[in-house]
Amino acid sequence: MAKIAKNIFRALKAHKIRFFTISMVIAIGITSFNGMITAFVVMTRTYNDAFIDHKMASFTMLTANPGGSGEDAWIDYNNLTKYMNEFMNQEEESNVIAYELRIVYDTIFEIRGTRQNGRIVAYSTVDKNGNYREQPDVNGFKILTGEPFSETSQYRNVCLVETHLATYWKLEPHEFIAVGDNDIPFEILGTLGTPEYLINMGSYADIMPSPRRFGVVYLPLRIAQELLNVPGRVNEISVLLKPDLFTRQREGIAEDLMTFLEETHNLKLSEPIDRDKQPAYYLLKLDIEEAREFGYVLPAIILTMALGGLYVLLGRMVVAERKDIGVAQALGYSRKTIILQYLGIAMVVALFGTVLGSIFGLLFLDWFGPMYTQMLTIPFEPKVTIEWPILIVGFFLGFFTGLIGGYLPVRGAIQPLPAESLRFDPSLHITTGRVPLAERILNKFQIHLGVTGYKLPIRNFFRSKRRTFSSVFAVIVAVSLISMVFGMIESMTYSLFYQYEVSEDWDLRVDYSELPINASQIAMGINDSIDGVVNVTYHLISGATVTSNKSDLSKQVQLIGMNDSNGYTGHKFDFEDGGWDPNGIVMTVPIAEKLKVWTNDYVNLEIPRLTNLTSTAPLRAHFEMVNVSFPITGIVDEFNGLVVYMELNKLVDVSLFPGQPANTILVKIDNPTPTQLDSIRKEIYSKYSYNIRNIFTKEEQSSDFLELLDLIYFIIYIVAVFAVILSCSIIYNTIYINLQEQQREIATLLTIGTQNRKLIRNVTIENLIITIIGTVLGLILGWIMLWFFMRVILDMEFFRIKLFISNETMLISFGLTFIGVLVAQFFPLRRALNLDLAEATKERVI
Amino acid sequence: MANITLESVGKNYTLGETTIQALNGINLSIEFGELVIIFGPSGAGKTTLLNMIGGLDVPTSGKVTVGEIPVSTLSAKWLTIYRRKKVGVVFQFFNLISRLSALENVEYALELVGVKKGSNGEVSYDSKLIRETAIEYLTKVGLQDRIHHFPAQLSGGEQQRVAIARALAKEPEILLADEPTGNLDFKIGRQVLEIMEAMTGKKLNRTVVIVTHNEAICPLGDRVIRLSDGRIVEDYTQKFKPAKDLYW
Repeated sequence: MAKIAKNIFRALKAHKIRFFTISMVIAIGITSFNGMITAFVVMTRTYNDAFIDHKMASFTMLTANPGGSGEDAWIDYNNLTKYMNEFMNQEEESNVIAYELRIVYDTIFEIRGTRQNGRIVAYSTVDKNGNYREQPDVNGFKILTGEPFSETSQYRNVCLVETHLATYWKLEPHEFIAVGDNDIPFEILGTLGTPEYLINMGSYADIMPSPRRFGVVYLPLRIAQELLNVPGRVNEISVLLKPDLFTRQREGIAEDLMTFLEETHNLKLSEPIDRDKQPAYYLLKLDIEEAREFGYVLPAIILTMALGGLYVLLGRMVVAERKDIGVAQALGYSRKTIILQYLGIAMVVALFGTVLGSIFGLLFLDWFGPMYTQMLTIPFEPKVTIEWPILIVGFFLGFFTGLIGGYLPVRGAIQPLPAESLRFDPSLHITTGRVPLAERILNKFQIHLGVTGYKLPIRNFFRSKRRTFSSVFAVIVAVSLISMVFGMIESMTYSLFYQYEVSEDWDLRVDYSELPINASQIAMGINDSIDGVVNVTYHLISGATVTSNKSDLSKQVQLIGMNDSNGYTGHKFDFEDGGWDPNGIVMTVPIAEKLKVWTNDYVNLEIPRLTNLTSTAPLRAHFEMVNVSFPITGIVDEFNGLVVYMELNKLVDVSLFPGQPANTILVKIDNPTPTQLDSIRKEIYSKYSYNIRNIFTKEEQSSDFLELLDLIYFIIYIVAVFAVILSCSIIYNTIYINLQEQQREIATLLTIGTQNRKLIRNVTIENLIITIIGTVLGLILGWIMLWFFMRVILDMEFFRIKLFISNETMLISFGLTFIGVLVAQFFPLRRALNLDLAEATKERVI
Repeated sequence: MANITLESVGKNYTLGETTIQALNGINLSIEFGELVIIFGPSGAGKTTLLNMIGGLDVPTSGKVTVGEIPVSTLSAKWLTIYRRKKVGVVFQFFNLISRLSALENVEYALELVGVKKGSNGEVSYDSKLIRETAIEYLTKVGLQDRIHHFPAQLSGGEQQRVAIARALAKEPEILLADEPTGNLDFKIGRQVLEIMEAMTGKKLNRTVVIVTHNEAICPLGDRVIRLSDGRIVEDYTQKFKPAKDLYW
C-alpha cells in the first residue's frame, strides 16, 4: 500500500500542472454545484419563510366585478365581517385561522410628474375590536424604511409604497405621490416588502412586470374608501387556513365559502384564487424551478468535461506507460494493484478538486447563498447556512467523477497477461501506418505534399483515432462552450433589437388606464394637431384564452386587436408562415407549438362580450366570456412569445364594444430624437391627459425588458467565465500531451537538422487542422447546446428568442480557441525545442 | 575535409544532488576518413563523446572542433545547421518517423539539405531528384522492395537500414552511430555493419564513428578507442583488419 501511495505521489508530481488543471475544473464544478444548489435552497427557504411569517393568504376571492361600481363590485365591510364569522363558526374543525377584508383596486399614480399604472391595496388599521393594529391578520408585510401606519393614519392621506416601486423611483418617506384619477396627493410614510408582490404583476395583458409601469401602494382602508367613493366597502377577501391542508382541501373550503356567500347572502364573487396560483407565487415558483435546473445542469456540464479530461489524460498516460505496466506485472504486481495505482491518481485528483470546490463553496457561501434572492429582489434577509446534505452530495459527485474518469481508461489498457503489455510498442500504437485518405485524395489530383512541408502535420493528425479524437474533442468542448455562450448573448440581444427596431413600428406608446371608446378621434387629433407626428394607430389589448379546435389544448395569451384602417398598424410582421388577413388571426410560434396548430387550422378564442353598459366615461360595463372560432392565417416568430393578433374591427364586432375602443395608441414620429420624443410626449399629456396611464418610448420599453432579462444575462456571464476557464484547461492538457508524445520524434528531427521554425510550423499546422475540424463540430454542438439551454433549461415562453450563432461568433470561437491552442502549445513546445537531444533520442517510450 | 579534435573535453551531469562526470579531460583527434570504434562498458562515456562530436550536446569544459568549426561554442541555430549539413546519425532505436514510409523518411532528410547535382556541386531541391536519390540510397541498403512500407511494417534490421539510408543520403562528412546493432540480433547486426562499412571510408569522403559495447565489432574499425570512467584508456590503430569471417 505504501508503495502504491509512493507511485501515486510520483505520478502526480511528474504531471502536476496537468493534474492540477483537471482538479481545478472539478473544483469549479463542485463549487458551482454547492453554490447554486445552496443559493436555490436559500431562496426557496427565504421565500417560504417569508410566506409563512407574513401569513400569506391560502386563497383570495374578489368580487365579481372588482373594478366596477355596481352591487357586484363592492361589499359592505360590516356585513361581510358578520358573514365571514358565521362561516368560520360553521366550518368543521376550524380550518380557517384568519381572514382579511381589503380593497384591491387598479388605478393610476402620478410620481414626480409621470403617470403610471398601479394598484391600491387597502386594509383596516383597526382590528375587529376597534383597536389599532400595525399588521393585517392575513397578507402581512415588512416595513423596510420609514414608519408603518399609525392610529391616526386612517384620517390622513398617507400611504406605504411597495419596495419595487419605491426602489425604481427612489421614493423616500415624507415624499408625496398622487393616487387615482383625481390626482389626490398622499404622503409616503414608509416602504414595505411583501411576498404577495415579490414580482409585480399588473393585468394579464401586461406580460412584463416592471415597476416602471406597475406599482403597488398600500393605503388605510378608510382613506381608500374615501378615495374611491365606496364608504364602508371592500372588494376582496383573503383567507388564511391551517398550514397543513392540501391544495384540494383548500380549494374545497374556498368553494364552500363562495357558495355560502353567494347562496346564503346573495353576494357576487369571482372564482377564488388559490395560493399556488397567486401571480407572484406562481411566477416565483417558475423562476425557482429555473434556478434549480440551472444549479444541476451547469455543474453537470462542468463535471462531465472534467470526467472527459481525466479520461483522456489517464488513458494516454496508461498507453505511454504500458511497457512499465508490463514490467510491473512481470515482477509480480497484480492487475488489481496496478489498477488501484492509476485509480488512486484519478481519485487524488478528483478528491483534491472536490475538497477545493467544497472549500470555495463555503468561502463564497455569503455570495452564492443570497444570489438568487438578490437577483429576484426578494426583500427579505436570506438565512444562509451550511447545507451539509448538499456538501455531501457534492463530495460524492466529485468522487464518482474520479472513479469513472480513472477506472474506465485504466481497465481497458491493462492487459491480463504481462506479455501483451511488454509486446506493445507505444510509438507504433499511436500510428496507423498508412497514408490518410485526405492525402490520397490530394495525390489523385496530383497534389503532392512535401515531406518537410504539410505531409508530416497531416500525417500527425491522422496518426491515431484515439489521439485525434481526444485532440478534436478538446477543441469541440472549447468551441461549443464559447459559441453557445456568445450565441446566447447575441440571440437575446438580436431578438430584442429586432423586436424594437423592426417589429415595433412606433416611437411613442400611449397606454390608457381605462378603455376610451373614441380611439379614432384621439388618434386623429394627435395626428392632426401635433407637429412631427407621422402616423397614429390604436390597439385594443386584452387577455384571452386560445384553444385548439383539434384538441383540448389551450393557452392564455395577450390578444391584440390591431386597427389597420389607414394601412399603418404600428407593427411589422415577420411571418414564419402565412400572412395577415383581417378575417383570421396571427399567432406566435410558441402558441402554435403549444396548441399543435399551424396556418389554416382553426382555434377558439375566449373573448369578453359586452352584456351591460353602465357608463361610457369612465367605461363601466359587464362582460361575459364567449368562444369564437377563427382560422389561423399567419404564424410569426417574434420576441413577444404569447401574442395573438387580430383585426380590431373583427374583435369589436365579436365583443360588442361601443364606439372605437382601444387601450393603446401608437405614434410614429418624424426624426424621433430624445428631445422631439419628450416634447411630443408632453404635448400629448397636456392635450389628451384624461385616462392616460403612461406614455413611454421604445427605448424605455426595451430597457424594461433588459432589466427583466438581467438574471438571464447574469447566468450567461457565469457560464461564459466557466466556459473560458474550462476551455483553457482542456486545451492546455490536450496540447501538452500531444507534444509530449512527440518528444522523441521532435528530438530526432532536430538531430537530423530540422530548423526550430519548421518544427513550430509543423506543430502549429497540426493544431490548426485540429482547431478547424474541432471548430466545425464544436459549432454544431454549440448550436445544440444553445438550443438545449434556451429552449429546455431557460424555457421562457413569454419571450421567444430566435436562436442563432452569427458568423462573427463563429470566427470569435475559432479565433479564441486557436489563440488558446497557440498559448497552450507555447510552453511544451519551448520545452521540446530545448530538449536534451542526446537523452530524448534514446528514450524508448513516447 | 574535416578532422575532429577534442581538447580537454569534460562533461558533468547533475542527478539530484549527485554530479556525475561522464567525460574527464578527453583529448582526441580523429582524422578525416577514419572509421573509429569507440568501445567501452556501460557508463564509460561513449555516447556522451559521440554527442559532443555530433553537436547533440555541449561539453562542460574543453573544446570540440570539426575542421574549422568550433562545435562546442556554436549557437543553437548554427548547431542545427552543423548537424544538418555535416553530420549523419544512426540511433540504437532507429528513431524513424513512424508516420512516414521508408522512402519518406529518407526524403525528409534530403529535403532539408537538397541533392548535389552535377560536378559543380550545385544543390537541387527538386522533388523528383530527391525521390530518385532516396530510392537510390534505399536500394543501396537493400530495401528497394520496401520503400513504401512504414516503420511499423518493417523488421528491426530493416528499420535500421532505413535509418542508415536516411543518415547517408545527406552525404554527411561525419557519420555517427550509437550502438547501431544494439537492438538487433547477430545476423542482422552483421548485415547492418557491412552496409555501413561499404558506404564509408576515405574514398567516400566520410568519417565514421561507431559507439559500441560489443567487443566483436572492434576489428571493423581503422582505429579503436576504449573508454572507461570518462577517460580514454586505450587508443590504437589497426593497419591490417582481420578478414570478416574471423571476427564475425
